[in-house]
Amino acid sequence: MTCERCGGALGDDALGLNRKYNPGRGWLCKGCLAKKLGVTEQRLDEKIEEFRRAGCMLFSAPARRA
Amino acid sequence: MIAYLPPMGWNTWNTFAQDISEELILSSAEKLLSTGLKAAGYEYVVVDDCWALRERDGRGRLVPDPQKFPHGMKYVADRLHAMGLKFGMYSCAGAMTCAGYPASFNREYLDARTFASWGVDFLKYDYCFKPASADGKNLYRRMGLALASSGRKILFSGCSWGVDATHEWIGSTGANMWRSTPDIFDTFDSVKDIIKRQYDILPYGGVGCFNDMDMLVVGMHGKGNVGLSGCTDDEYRLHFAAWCVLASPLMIGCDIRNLDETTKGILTDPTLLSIAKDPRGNRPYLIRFADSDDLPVFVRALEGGDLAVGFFNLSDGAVNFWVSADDLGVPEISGKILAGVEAYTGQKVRSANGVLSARVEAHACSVMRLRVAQR
Repeated sequence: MTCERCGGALGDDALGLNRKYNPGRGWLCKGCLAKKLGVTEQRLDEKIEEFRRAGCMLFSAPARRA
Repeated sequence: MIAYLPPMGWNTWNTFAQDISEELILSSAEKLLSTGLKAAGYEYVVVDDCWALRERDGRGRLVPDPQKFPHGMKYVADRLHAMGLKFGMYSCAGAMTCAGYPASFNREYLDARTFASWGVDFLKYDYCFKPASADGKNLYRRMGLALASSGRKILFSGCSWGVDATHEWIGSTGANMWRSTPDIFDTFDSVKDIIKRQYDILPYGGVGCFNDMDMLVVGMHGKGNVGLSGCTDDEYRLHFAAWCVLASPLMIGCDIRNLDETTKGILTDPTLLSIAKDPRGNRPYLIRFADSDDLPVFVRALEGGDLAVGFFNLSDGAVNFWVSADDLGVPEISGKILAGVEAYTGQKVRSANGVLSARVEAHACSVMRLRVAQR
């Protein structure tokens, strides 16, 4: 699956972000979704961490550090 | 249990998500009283997801997290009832709640009895982790019956996000309100999307089972769980006005302990609340101004022959809205006009030459309560 706006790869957690913030309206990469919502990608990263903390399972577990 | 009017109250989820506690609930409840919100009609205090322990007890019952609710839920219910408020809780039709806590799948009757024993008045019932083999409508019918036979009147708030053709079957489940859309976020894009999703389902809400457009983000200003870019005050006015005209339940989602005067003014606008709480229960209808999905005109007949008419500008430029009084049921030849008051401004308005009009800025609205008067 690729981004419907820029054609780029969707990237990590894009499915969860789209289901949260763009439900039923197509699939966008984090960058294009951030532009659509009027926020930065960093803000979306912060929200992903908040959602994980709250127990939301739409987002993958953070990668373990070696 | 019959809901004759759209339920009104405050819910923890939009701002607090998992950061909830007995202290938060009770201090917020006190604010409902001291700010006048309860007097305006906001009576339900709803504890959303994340209230329970991650495991049921040895008898299979849900257990409130003692770190968050050290005195248990009956204590919270009793305190809220003593304030003249009603107590709402949350569960889910699937195997787990959306945040991964125990849910009520196959335990509907046990959990309904538990909620009743605590003095719960309202149950929000979500749709996460529904087994694919389970029939959603049957799960809601189960909980509807479980609540109705629990020994306590508990308002049933269905939250299946409008999926699986919810609008076709929710009225048969005993639900008193039903979520018709995906979750709301604190952005104008989200508010606009939810409004547009109503266009085809306006006939499906009403007395007994209200179409729930999700909890309000008015006053959140980008903060909290569903906070994102936030909205302008005009966008929050549009949001609240649409929810009122379309007879949606009104569940405040901001932190009311820090309620600012602008937010309070929006949430207690007397014209809009009179529309929201209108007892006639008529369905609203839509007129697309200039055939545009971004320019809905919503109309609802009210008690006493009044009309609520709302021009909603979802577009990015100012618009001179107009609608023929004939299209509102008042033909020019009748000798009647429409006259009344505009919400938020209190300005007097009236139709002229058979036309009702208003200039509305981008992302703003003009909502009027009108009566039929002699020219």
